[in-house]
Parts: sequence; structure tokens; C-alpha cells
Amino acid sequence: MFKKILIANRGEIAVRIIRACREMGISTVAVYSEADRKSLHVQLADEAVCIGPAQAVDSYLNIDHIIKAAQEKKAEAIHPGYGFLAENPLFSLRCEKEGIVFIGPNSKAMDLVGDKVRSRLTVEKAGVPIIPGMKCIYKEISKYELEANKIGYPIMIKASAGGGGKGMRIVHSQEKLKSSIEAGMREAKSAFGDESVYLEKCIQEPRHVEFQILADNHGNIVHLFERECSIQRRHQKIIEESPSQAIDDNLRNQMGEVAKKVIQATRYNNAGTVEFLIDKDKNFYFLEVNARLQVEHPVTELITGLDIVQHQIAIAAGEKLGLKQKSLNQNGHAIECRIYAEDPQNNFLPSSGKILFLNEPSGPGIRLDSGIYSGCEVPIYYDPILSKLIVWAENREMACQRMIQALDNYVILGVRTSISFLKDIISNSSFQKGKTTTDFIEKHFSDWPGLKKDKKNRELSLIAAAFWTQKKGYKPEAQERGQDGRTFSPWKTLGRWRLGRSEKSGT
Amino acid sequence: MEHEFIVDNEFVKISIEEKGDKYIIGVDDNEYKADIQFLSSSIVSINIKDQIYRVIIKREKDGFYVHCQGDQYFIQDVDQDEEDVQSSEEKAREDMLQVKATMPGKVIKIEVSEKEEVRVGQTLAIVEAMKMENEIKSSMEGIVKKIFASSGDLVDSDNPIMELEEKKE
Repeated sequence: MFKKILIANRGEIAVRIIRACREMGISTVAVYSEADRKSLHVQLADEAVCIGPAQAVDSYLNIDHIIKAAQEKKAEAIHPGYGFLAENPLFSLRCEKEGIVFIGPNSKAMDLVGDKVRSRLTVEKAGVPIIPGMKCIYKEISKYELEANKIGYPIMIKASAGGGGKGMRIVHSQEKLKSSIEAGMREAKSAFGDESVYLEKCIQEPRHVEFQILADNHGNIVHLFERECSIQRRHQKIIEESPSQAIDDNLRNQMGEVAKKVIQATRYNNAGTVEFLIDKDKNFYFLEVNARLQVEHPVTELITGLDIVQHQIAIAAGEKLGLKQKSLNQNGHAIECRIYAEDPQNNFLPSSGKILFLNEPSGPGIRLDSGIYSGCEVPIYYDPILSKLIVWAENREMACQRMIQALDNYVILGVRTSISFLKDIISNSSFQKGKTTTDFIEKHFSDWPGLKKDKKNRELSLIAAAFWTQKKGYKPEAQERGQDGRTFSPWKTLGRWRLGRSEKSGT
Repeated sequence: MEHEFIVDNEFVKISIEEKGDKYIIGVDDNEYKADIQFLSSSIVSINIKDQIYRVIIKREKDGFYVHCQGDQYFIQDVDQDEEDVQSSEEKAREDMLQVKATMPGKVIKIEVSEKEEVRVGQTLAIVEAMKMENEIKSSMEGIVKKIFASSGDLVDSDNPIMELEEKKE
């Protein structure tokens, strides 16, 4: 086993990995940018190396600096977390070259699964279902008609140069095909300067269901069941759960075996996730492989009782997977909410600043993977994820209730967060009925915040503010200057009151 | 004592009178008799008719961050010196002329140049924060008077990126 691991990431995931290392008796090296000197992961690691300026390009994405830090600190392995360099084949290749173990898939497999076209071809050959469609571009509408009949209606027209829904159209019958293709071409032309479009089967009421895989270096592969991640905003997952409400045991086994087949066909190793779309008739189609530890991995950890990060490290160290598919079970229900520093009432604009007050929920079945502490700054440079709140309960209904309570008790003051938005989603009756499709937010929450806040809570808040003002704060006799002498705030020096000073109050 | 705040863009008056060990509170045409206690510097416990509410409150320079049973508010002070309506109108006008970022970030691009005429809704600058690009648009028709920042600069939400002026016609 390794003696020392460098963690090439920041925030909650770096903290999560440090925890796993601690439990395994492995010492940790954190890396940080100049903006992150005071971040939580830096405080928790055994050693920490500054790898450059705040901009990620100069620090967390700088391969040379990270490799240099690993060599200086004699780290035998690097865990990349998610994002940043996690799925960069150049980085894993460089690690391989420098004799540092990359905790993740081999660079060849990473390269393959990172290429959507090549990976789909590879898995299709292995008999894995992919979304029917064609990549061919025709001049004649008649050829499109032939193709459309083969795929079956409804059909989706997509722009080759596409993205962002431009040029995209759904066609329900042959009569509409010609005019829709022409309209799609015009739209594609004006949006991308390229009019070519192709056809794809339209997946109705799609759900996003993915399978967690562990594969060791000796050919042993297990799946740790599914996670449903249909609740997305702008293609970004925000709530994940397991088990999925869309599949039964039969389909679960079938999809799990297909997921393993994908891993085999791509010669993938370590932890990975195989993503599928499921349509309303329960047909499933391979989307892609995520070649990393995923944000939502705790959901799987709670229902299986396994520690995925520790397994990742053991696999990377060359150990054999001790798990057998038959002895793995899905127990109870787990839900995760991603807590972002963003303002749901202001178009989800990212929010940065200082965490002034923090109360973290706790209790039976509550897990919080967090990268913040009271008093820390949320820098502007990186992904705005603050933490992940994950709950486990005997069943889905209880898990929803537990999540609502936990969100209510999660207090973050100083930066705006998505907590209230998440609470409204979990409280929504369609969510509670399990009617989760990828267009859920668009369908039910496009006009959020439609609900008014509780009037009573508003009054109570005002009472507290008025009371505070009238009493001039807690212990008004103890007034003190801030440490630097410039700003007055009694809260900054909490716990170190000096009595008997008579400075003029800033309030 | 009477207190005035702004919450969710609404002006609110609230009165608190001490009566024995309780407080009589008047807010939104409602009257409450409450026992109010500080539990710590940032937690206030309010007891109204034996119902206990825990309110978390944090003082910042121009108001309070408050959390009550899952809801959050920013309760802004009403500045006593700025009570006349004129000054708030002037402030609104000034806000239009002073183009600022909605949050601290890095200027990706300045889309206009000095002396250029701009329309309502025209993109003036693009500022990146937390991996998201935000377009800063003009809220008025006018002329770019002076540009203070250039691409690559870090900006905050207090200092203007540029200043506009009204067209003289």
C-alpha cells in the first residue's frame, strides 16, 4: 500500500479523499492555489504545497507544477478527484511516465471513453445498446425519410455542429419531416454557419440512470448498482438518488451486466460510471463512461456500505477486488443534494464571499461532505460547489422527509446558496411520487420562486433584527475593535471579548 | 422603540416595547407578546404563546443576514441620513451611469470603447466568476464616458467598470 498520496484537487472532494487516506494510514499532500491558502483541504492535509496563482490554469490545471510537488514530497500516487485534471489523458500519461501511480483508469482507456464517437462504436460492437441514429449527412430529403422510418418516430433532428438546443427539433410523423429538416437546417446555418443536420431517435420522458463500477487490474469487475440523476438544471445534476424509481430488479441486473460489458470492452480499470438514458418504455441506451470518482459517489456508498475512495486507492495499489457481485446488496434509500454557492432567486448567479455563520445538519442517516467552515472565504475562481448533503433512510419516503429536515437545519449565512431551491424540489409532489425525468426542473420549476416565503418566518426574522438593534447586539457592553483596527465587528472576535471598552458602535 | 428595515424590497416598520420581562411587538398590523432571549451572539430565541422559534442572525455592515426555520432574509437597515426621496432617485440614476459587476470576477472582454453610443440592453462587458460568464448590459441609452477596467482585470461589485453619460441632445 502507498505511504503518501498527493491530492490534485480542492474543496469538498479533496477533504473526502484526505479522510479516506487517514483511515488507511496513508499520509496526504494537498496542493493549493494562492487563493486557497485558508481553504479547508489545506488545513486537513499532512502537508500542503502551493502550486501557483488563483487562476486554475496556473495551479490546479498545471500538470508540471503538480508533478513537481508530488516528486518533491515523494508522493507515490496522485488522486485527481473530479473536474480539473481528473479526465485528462495527458495527465495520467504523464504520471505513468514519471512513475507516479494515477488513481484512476489507465490513460488508454481514459482516452477511449473520453471520445464519444469512438467509445460508442466500441461498445456497440460489444452489443451494448446505443441511441439509434445516424451521423451521416444527406442532401436529399428522401434519404432522411428512409432513415427516419428505420429509426422510428418520434425522431430528433440535431445540428452536426450543434449544442445548446439550436437546430434541434422533434418530429412526430413523416408528414412533418421535410419542413422540420429544412427549418432545422436554416437554424443550424444561422447558429453555427453549418447547415448539416442528422437524425436520432427521440427519447421520450428520459431518465438519467448510471451504474457505479469498480474494476481491479486483474480483470475483476463489479457494479455497485445504479444512481438516478434525472434532476438536472442546465444539464448539471443537482439531486441524485439510489435506488432509481424507474427500474426493477430484473432491469437492474440486466443494465448492471451491460455496464460491466462496457468496462470490459473499453479495458477500463479503477472506479468508473457507465451512464444510460432510459425512455418511458424502459428501453435503455448507453451514453458515456465517466472516467473518474463522481460527485454523487456518496449515494452509492450509503446504500452499499462500501467506501469507494478506499477501494479506488486499493485498486491503484494493485490489490485484488475482494468484492463478489452476488454478495453485494442495495440497502434502503439514499438521496444527495448538491449545495452550490449560487442565488436561485437571481438566475442562479454564482455567489462568493465569506461564510459568516454555519450550522451543519446532523442526526441519524445524515452525511455531509463539505469543503467549508465558518469564517472561510468562497473564492470566485472555481466551481461553486460548497458541499453535498446526503441522507439515508429505510425507504424513499423517509429519505425525502429526512432530507427536508436536514436542509431546514443547514444554515449558511454570508453567501447565497441553493438550499431553499433544493428543499422545494424534494417537497414537490411529483418528485415524491418518483416522476423524475431530465426535464423535471424545466417542467415544474421554470417560474421558481413562485412560492412566497412563509410570512411568519419573515415576521420572526424582523423581530430578531429589531431586537438585535434595540439591544445593540449581544453583550452590548463588550465592544471591541477588529484585529486590524480598521473594521469594527464584534463577531469577528467572538470568544475573545475585552470588557469595559467604550468604542462607538458601528451599528 | 420603532425600527425600520427593508426586506425583499419592501419597507417595513416594527415596534418593540419592553413590558416587564416580555416584549410587545407590532409588525405588519399584528401584535405579539413575546419573551426574547439571546442564546449566543448570533442566535435569538423567541417565545410567542409557548411556541419557541430559533432565529439565526448575523450583523453585517448594512443589515442582517437572518435564517428562520429554513427561510433566509437579508434585512437591510434604512439609512437615517438618506430619508428624502430625492436622494434615492439620484442614487438610482447614479447606479445606471456607473456600470458595475454583479459580483467580483475577472473581466473577459470590454465590448465597447470610450465615446461609443450604447443602447438599452447592449452588452458592455463580459465578466467571469466561478467559471460562468456574465454579460453586463446597459440599462440606459447613452454614451460611454470612461472605461476603468480592461480585459484580465479583477473587479468587484463596488467599483465601476465604466461610466456612462446621457446623450446631450
